[in-house]
Amino acid sequence: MRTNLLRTAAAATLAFLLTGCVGSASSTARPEPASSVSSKIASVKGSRITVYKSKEGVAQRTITSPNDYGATRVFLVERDEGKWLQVLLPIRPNGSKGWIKATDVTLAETAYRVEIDRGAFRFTVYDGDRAVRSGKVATGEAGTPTPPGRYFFTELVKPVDQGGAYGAYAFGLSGFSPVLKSFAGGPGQLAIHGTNKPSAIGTRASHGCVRISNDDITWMAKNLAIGTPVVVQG
Amino acid sequence: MNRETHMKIKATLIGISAVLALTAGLASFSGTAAADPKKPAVTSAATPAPAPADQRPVVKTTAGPNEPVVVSPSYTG
Repeated sequence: MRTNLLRTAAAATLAFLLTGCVGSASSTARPEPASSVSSKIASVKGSRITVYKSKEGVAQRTITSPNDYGATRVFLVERDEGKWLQVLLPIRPNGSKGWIKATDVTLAETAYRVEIDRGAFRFTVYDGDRAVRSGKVATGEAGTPTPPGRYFFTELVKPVDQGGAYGAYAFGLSGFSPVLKSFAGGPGQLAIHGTNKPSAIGTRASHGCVRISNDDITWMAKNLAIGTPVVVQG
Repeated sequence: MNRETHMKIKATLIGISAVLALTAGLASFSGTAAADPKKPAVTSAATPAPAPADQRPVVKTTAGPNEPVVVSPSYTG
């Protein structure tokens, strides 16, 4: 009888021990929540900034701020190395990068990004990993295509002519048409903007810009910052 | 109280004591202190000197929407 009792006590203790260990192990193995995808935006502090080809290398060029539209000059940060930042530049050729000194800018972060699928004629705005807005787009015609690549918003414009071709708002992009070296007095800069021809959305209709509905561009204007990354693909 | 009853009580008490002792032992392993072990003290020699405030870029938490510039744009349309 005594042996039985001792065996029972030992079994209970062992069961309790195992339960505790399993609980402890599962809590240790619990995965960390996925960190949200965010981008850094560098805003130029002064009236100009020096861009370097390599860190601590020779100055490559000087870029002024504000830009030609009067907006504070911003860059999308591709790599943050503390004192030095590698940034995407709003110059030809598309995708050009350079290094700037971190002390020349202020940094902000955004979890938003815009993805444009040319083949599907759709845009999607993501907040981290979550799609928060999507809609149809018009892209460039065959002779004036919208080039794929990674860009960022350079300025937000409210066109003087609200009934014009640019619609309610336009976000300038850091990229340029591969075909048009100049257009309407400008340098052939791409943009995402509204439209006064909503029936053309869902087709290849533009000279390279991405057209979306006025409702969609108004939503973007109210929610997205200049510097927000834009990826054109498909 | 006969000898058999006495032995039963004794065995039960031994079992309960063992469970309590093990519970206390496990709690010490799975507690906050175990999950977040005390970091070794950092000596002053290993601490990098903080950069001057004017050399550190300020990171705001979130970039917000901007006021639009009212102009006639010249994008590719």
